[in-house]
Amino acid sequence: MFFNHRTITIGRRWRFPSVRIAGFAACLCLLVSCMEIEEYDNTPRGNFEALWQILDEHYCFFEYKGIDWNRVYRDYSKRIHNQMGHESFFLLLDEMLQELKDGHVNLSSAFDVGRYWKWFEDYPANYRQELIDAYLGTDYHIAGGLRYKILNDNVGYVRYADFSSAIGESGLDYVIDKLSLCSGIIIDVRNNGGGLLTNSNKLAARFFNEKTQVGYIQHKTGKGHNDFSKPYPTYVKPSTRLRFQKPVVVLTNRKCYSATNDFVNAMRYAPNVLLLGDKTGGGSGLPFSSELPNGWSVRFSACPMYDKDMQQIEFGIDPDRAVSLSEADAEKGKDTLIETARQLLGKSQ
Amino acid sequence: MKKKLLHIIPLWFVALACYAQEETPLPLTYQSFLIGGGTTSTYDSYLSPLKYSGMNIGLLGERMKTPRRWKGRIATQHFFNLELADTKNPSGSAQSYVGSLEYDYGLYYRLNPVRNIQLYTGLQGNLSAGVIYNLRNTNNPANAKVGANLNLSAMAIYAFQIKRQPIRLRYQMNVPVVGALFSPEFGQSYYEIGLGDESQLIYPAAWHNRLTIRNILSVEIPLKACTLRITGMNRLYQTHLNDLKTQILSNAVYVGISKYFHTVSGKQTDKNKYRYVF
Repeated sequence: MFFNHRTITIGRRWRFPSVRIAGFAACLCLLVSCMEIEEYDNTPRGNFEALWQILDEHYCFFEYKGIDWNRVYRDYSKRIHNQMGHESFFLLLDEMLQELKDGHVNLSSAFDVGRYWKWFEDYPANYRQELIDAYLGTDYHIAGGLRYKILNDNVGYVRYADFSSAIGESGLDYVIDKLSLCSGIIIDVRNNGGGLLTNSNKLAARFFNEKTQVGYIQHKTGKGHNDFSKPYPTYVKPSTRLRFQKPVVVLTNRKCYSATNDFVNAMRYAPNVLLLGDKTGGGSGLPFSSELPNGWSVRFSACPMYDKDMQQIEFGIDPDRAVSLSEADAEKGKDTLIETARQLLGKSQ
Repeated sequence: MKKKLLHIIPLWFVALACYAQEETPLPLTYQSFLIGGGTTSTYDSYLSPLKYSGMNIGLLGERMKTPRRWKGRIATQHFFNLELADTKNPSGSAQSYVGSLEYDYGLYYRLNPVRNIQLYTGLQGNLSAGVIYNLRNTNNPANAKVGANLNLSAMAIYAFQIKRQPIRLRYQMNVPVVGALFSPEFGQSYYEIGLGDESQLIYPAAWHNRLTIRNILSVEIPLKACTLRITGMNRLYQTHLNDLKTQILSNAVYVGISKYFHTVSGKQTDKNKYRYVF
């Protein structure tokens, strides 16, 4: 017991012998590290070497994409010289990173962000924001990052534009409760470039009734291009709260990337779910960040994620039903993908 | 007569007990508490290939005692150190925070080889937890530093006077021998760990994969009510595991006070010489 203790402070009187100042050998060991730490010069050559090395050791898709990273070194190394200006040097490094064909690879400086966007730039958009706005009108509801309403044919429409936007469990309860009387719902994740995987999992959990394996994840165990861990299975566990039991159509396009790709992959294995639209953009490598001596940062795919059959989904997931946005429909204010989904959900009623 | 003897015998026992108590020196507890700051440099290849450097602030607490049961030859030590650092990369474009909390419990054997000099040598159990948090990174923003170690530890104390002012110098060094260490694998994300990946996360640690050394040099100058303590601490935490390298080097100066005290419980109050206090 605390109160059963009494503390008596006793002033300390040192009784040292008469003055005899002897040298006290205070051996404060000066520490010399025996661990070798690779250091790079902050010159174009040093920054180039650092960037190449970071990716050589950490990037996870060399083998899958058939990239000869040593050839890339040879090709670009001879173009580097220490008199290069910032911008030309940045462009050269960005050009080197384009060889990886990866939307998760970015070089960021104070004046520009290098990126690879061919995963959607080379394909039709199958998306028009003004059409979405027209479907939602002004009387839609908002639950975190979700915008939702019941369309006039009793089909629920849920728009999720960014997996970085938070979705709360209570918000999802309200959405599902509100749409539970609909014949089915459309989850529109087109142009959703990704965000948090936890949001992907949280939303998908509302459409599963059993714990279901949806894929695998791996990580690098060493610096070699093929040093990977044993694939670890990933699951969606059904939410213990409200779950939607009616048909669901997930609308996809080429701009569905990263966490959205992960969500679309998971929904493939949910009951009563149909993927409709265009192939997703992909982006199945969990990105890590690093940096160069000059302060520029680099992001790259570090941990590959696969589907349930251990197949790569880095370059996208095909829809169950391919539908494109027709110009004729768009001119009439109709979104072909939404209209097709409504027909399917209407029939299933 | 018989009755008288019966009364006297217990009195003798009491007297002997009192004598024995008086002969046993009262074990005072040494305690100090310090606050300080200095510099930190960090390198963690899981987060960045660059060294970060900056300033740190910290707290240091220590308690030592020579328990009565070991007749003053064995000392116990409780030691804790909290250190927080704010560091930047060489170009100043990114920031990382470093936090570490360490607790040691040590048992030391005391030697007095030379007049005015005391030596302590012994073993310490160490628990440490820390993190390096890089504000720039996304899916690899932080790396945890958690471990448990058995340390070798030694202390040397030299007492002297300058112009009748007593001064005590103390140097302590700790070197871990064996232990256990947490580490993700080379490219393993904490997201994957959170999913429950069964990959090994705790590893045996020894000099081949971990070197952590702590040097502490203290000067103590007694004042009227307490003793002023000034401590310089140099700490190295270095690991090389799963192709991941970490190095945290910090140097700090701490200032605080130290005191000697003795704590008696309510039950003991009646049995020892401090009974008169309350």
